[in-house]
Amino acid sequence: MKRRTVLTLLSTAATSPLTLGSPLRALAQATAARTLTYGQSGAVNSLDPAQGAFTTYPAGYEVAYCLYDRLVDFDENLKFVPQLAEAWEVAPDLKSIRFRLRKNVRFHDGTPFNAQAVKFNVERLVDKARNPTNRPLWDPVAGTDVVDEHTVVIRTKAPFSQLLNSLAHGSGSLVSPAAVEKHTEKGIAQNPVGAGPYRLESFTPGQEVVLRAADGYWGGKPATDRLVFKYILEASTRIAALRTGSVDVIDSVPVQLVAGLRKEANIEVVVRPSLRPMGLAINLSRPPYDDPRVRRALNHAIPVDTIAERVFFGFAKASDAPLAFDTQGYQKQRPYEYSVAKAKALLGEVGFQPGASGQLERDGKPLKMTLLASDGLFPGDVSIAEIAQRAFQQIGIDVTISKIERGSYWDALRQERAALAFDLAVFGFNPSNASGLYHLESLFKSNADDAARPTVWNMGRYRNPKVDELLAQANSNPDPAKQLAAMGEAQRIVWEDAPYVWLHVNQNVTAFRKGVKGVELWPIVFTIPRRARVEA
Amino acid sequence: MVPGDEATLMAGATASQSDIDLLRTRLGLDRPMVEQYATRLAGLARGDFGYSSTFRGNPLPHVLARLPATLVLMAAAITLTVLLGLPAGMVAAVRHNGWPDYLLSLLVVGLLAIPNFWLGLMLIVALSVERGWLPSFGFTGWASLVMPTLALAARLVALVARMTRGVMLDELAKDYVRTARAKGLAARAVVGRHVLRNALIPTVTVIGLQTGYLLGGSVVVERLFAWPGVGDLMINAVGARDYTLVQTITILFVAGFLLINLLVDVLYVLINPRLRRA
Amino acid sequence: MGGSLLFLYVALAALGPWVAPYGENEQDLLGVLAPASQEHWLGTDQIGRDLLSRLVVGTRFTLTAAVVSVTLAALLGAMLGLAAGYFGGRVDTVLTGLADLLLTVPNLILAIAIASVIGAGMSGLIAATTAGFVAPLARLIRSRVLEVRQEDYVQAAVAVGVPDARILARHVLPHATTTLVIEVSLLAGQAVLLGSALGFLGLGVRPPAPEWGTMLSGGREFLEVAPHLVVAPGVAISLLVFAFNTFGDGLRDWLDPRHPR
Repeated sequence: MKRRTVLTLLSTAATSPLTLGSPLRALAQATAARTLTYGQSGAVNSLDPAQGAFTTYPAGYEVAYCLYDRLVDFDENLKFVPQLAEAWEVAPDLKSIRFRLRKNVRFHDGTPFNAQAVKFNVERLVDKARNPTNRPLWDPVAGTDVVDEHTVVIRTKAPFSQLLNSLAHGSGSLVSPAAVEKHTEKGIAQNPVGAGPYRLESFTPGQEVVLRAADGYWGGKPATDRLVFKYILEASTRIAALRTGSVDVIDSVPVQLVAGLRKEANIEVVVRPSLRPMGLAINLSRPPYDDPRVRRALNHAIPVDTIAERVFFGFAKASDAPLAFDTQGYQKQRPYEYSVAKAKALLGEVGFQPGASGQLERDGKPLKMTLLASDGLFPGDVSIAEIAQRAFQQIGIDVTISKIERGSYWDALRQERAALAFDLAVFGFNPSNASGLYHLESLFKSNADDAARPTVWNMGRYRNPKVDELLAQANSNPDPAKQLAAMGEAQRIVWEDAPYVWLHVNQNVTAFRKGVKGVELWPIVFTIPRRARVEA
Repeated sequence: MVPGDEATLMAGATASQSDIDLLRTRLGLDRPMVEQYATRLAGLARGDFGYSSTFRGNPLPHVLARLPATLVLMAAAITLTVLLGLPAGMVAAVRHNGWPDYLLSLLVVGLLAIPNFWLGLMLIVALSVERGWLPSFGFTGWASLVMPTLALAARLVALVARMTRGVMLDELAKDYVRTARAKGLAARAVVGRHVLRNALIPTVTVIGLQTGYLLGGSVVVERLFAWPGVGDLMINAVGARDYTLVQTITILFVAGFLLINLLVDVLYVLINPRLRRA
Repeated sequence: MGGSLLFLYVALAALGPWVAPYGENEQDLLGVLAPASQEHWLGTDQIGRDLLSRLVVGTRFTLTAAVVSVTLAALLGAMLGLAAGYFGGRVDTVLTGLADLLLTVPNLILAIAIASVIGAGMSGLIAATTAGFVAPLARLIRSRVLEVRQEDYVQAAVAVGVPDARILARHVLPHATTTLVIEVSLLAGQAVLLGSALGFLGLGVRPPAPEWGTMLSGGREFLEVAPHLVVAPGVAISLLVFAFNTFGDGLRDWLDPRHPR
C-alpha cells in the first residue's frame, strides 16, 4: 500500500513537476489523518461521571462521549439508540426498565462489562456522597437488580418517564468498577477507564486530553487513531488555529464570523439550532415582579426579533414558547409583540406612572431593577444584558447591571430567597438529557422550599400548582400523546404567567477543516468527534 | 464580597442545599475559620496547599506542571531584552543626537505607553490573522513563542535601551574615554573594552526592578496567547473562585519574585567588582 | 506635549457627555458593527453604540480610576512613610516589614487577587490599583523623611519639645511633597495600564460603563469583522499613558533639578 503510494508519487513527479506539491501534501495528510485535533472552548479538568461529573461543561462531556459507553446512546438527533444495552423493555407503570446487555464487551482495562458493572455504576451515581451533581437525573432511581450476567432491571421510586434520558445523559457513562477500585474514588477523575470507542492516552487537566482508538471495541475500531482535545478559550485563537491547520475541528464559532468562514475554501461550517432558550429569569419573590402584568410588560418591552436578526446575524430565532423549537414536547405560543406602548399601558394598570424625570413611579417610589449578567457563559450575554437594560430604561425602569464572572454565576443565581441579589438574570437552560419534560421541571416546578436554595433551576420561585400537576402527569402517564398534551398545557400556562422575559434560541456553530467527516454537532451544544475521520 | 464558597461551586448546577452541606462537611468548610486556617498552614509546611476545587485535591503538582511554560516565556523575554535593548541603547548613545538616537527615543516612549495585551492583539492581527505566519495560541513549537515573548518583553526592551543609553552617555563623557578617543582609538573599540561592563549594570537593574512587571505581565500575556503557564491558570482560578489555587499561585509568584531578586543581586556582584569589595 | 495632551483628556473627562456626538449607551440595533462613517467617526460596536462617544465618555472612568488610585496610594504611602521614618523604632520595623512583604507580590497579581474578592465595579478597580502603589511610595517617603530628620533644624525642634504633628506638618511634609508629586504623576501612567489590564481580564467595571480595557476585551471577538473595536480603545489607552509619562518626566525635570537627565 505504502509502496504503491510512493510509486504513484514518483510517476506523478516525473510527468508533471508542477503538481508535485499536492500529492506530497496528500501523503502527509494520510499519515496525519490518524490524528484528529479538536480545539475546545472549555477546559477539561476531570473525567469522572460521578464525584462532581465531567468538568467543565460541556468540554468534559464531549470527551466522555468518546471515552465511555452508556447503556443507551443518543444519535445526532437525540433519539435513543442501543449502546451497551442491546434492547430494553419499559414497564407499563413506568417504574422500571429491563435491559438486555451486550455480550463480550470489555472495559479498556480488560475487565468484563456485565450486570454487576451496571449495578456498581448506577449505585455509585445514586449515592449522594459519591455523586453530588446531576441529582435530578439520579434521585428518582430506587435500585438495580441483577437478573443474570447479561440482564439487569433498574427501578425508580415513582413513575419516571425520563429514565432512559438519564442513562443516555453523559453522567450515565459506565466506568470500570475494577478501575475505580484501583485508582480510588477520587483518582478515577484523572485516570478514567471506560468501554467506549477510545481509551485514555494522556490527560493534562485544564489543557489537553489525548485519546487512542480502543482495540476490540464492540462497534469496530474507530477510523481515527488518535483524538486530541485542546483547550483554546478565545474564539479568535480557535479560528486562527483552524486556519493554520493546528486543529481540525473547533466549536463555539462566533456567529459574526460565519459568513467570512464560509467563503474560505478549506473550512466547513456547520450550524444547528440549539435546545437552549435564552431569557431573563425573573425573581418573583419581590414586588412588583410578583405581578404577572409587570412581567408581561417586560416581555413586551424587548425587540426580540431585531436582536435575533441583527445582533446574532440571523443565527438565532426569537422564542415563542418556554421550550426551544426542536425540544421534544415544544408547543408554540402567541409571541409577546414588541410594543413600548403596550408595556407602558400594562405597567400603568398596575399603578406605575411616569414621575418628574420620566421614570416610572408607584406611590412616589421609582421602579428599579438589578439585572444579573454572566460574562462569556452564553453567547453575547453581556450584550443581551446591555440591550435589555436600554429597553427597560425606555419604558421608564432604572436598571443596574451586575456582572458576575463565569465560575461564580451559577452560584449567584441559586441563592436562598433572602440572599437573592437580582430582579432579573440572564439565563439559558440546556436540557442535556434531551428531555423537554426535564427542562420544564427544572425551571418551572415549584421548589420544595422557596426560602431555601432552589431545588433545581427555579431560582425565581415560580409556583403554580396547576403546572406542577401537569408535569407530574407527564412523568407518570405511559401514553406519549398524553405526556405531550400535558407538557403543552403546562407551557401555555407558564407562557401566560411569564416568569421569564423570553428572548431567543441561538444556533450552535462548529467548524472544521474540509475533508473532516463525521463530526457530530448535537443540539444540546455538544460537538462530538467520536466518529470523525479525515478524508484526504 | 461575592457570595458562595467552594462547596457550592463544586456541588454544581443541580445540587440541593443538603448536597452542598454534605460536601461542605467533607471539605471541612463547616469548621471554625481559625481551625481551617491552622489546618491550611500546617498543610503548607508539608507541601499540601489545601483543597483546590479545580483539581479536586492539592493543586501544587498541577501548578508546578505548568511552571516550565511560564519559565520558558520569562527566559525568552529576558533574553530578548538583553539582545535588543542593550545594543539599541548603545547604538543610540554612540550616535548621540543622530537619527538612531531619535528613533530609539520615539520607540521607547511608544513601547512604554502601549499596554502589552494590546500590543499582543495587534501582533496577532498582523502576523497571525492577516498573514498566517505565526501560530497565535498555546505552545505548538518554538514559533509559537515569538509573539508572547515580544508582547511581554516590549516594555523591558524599552526600559533597558533607555537606561543603557543614559549610562553609556555618562561613560562616554568621562575622561578616560575622551582620552582614548583623542588618541585615535576607534569608537567601537572604546565601547567594547571599557564601557560594555558598565552598560550591563543598568540591564540587570532594570530586570531586577521590573520583576513585578515580568511576573504580572506574564499573566496577561499567557491569557491572551493561551500560553499553558501558571498565569493563565491563575485567571481560570479567579473565574472558578478556586481561592486555594489563587493562593498557591500567588505564593509561587512571590517565591519567583524573591528568587529573581536574589539572582539579580548575585549578578550585580559578579558584574561589578567594586561591590565585591564593599 | 504631555501636558497639553493630558489637558485634552481632562477636558474630555469633564465635558464627556456634552461633547460626545451620541449618548454612550444609545443603541442602534439595526446598525451594529458599522465601520467608520460620516455619522459614526469611529464606527459602532456589537450592539450599535457609537464608539467615539463611548471612548470620550469612558475617559472619565479611566482617568478617575487612575488619578484617584494614585492619590489614595500617595496619601496612604505618605502617612505610613512619615510614621515609619519619623518615629523609627518598632513602628518603623513593623511598617517596613509590611511594605517589604507587600512589595514581593507583583502589582498585577495583587490587583487580581483584590479585584476577585471585591468583585466588579469602580471601587474594586480603584482598590486593586491602589494596593500595589502604597508600599513603594511609603518606602520612598520614609527615606526622604530619614534624610530630613537628620537636619539640624528638625533636631532642634524635637529638642525644644515641638509636638510631633507640628514638626511633621511644618518641616517634614513639605520636603517629601515634591518627591511625592513627581512620583505620583509617573505612577499615574502605570495605574492606567494596570486598570485597563484588569478590565481586559474581565475584572473591571460594571457594564455598560465604557471603560477602555473592558471595551477592548469585549471587542476581541469581533477582531476580524470590526477591528476598530479593538484598535480605538488601545490607541486611547496608549495616548493617555504617553501623556502621563511625558508629563511626569517634564514635572520631574522642572521640580527636581538634581535628577540627571
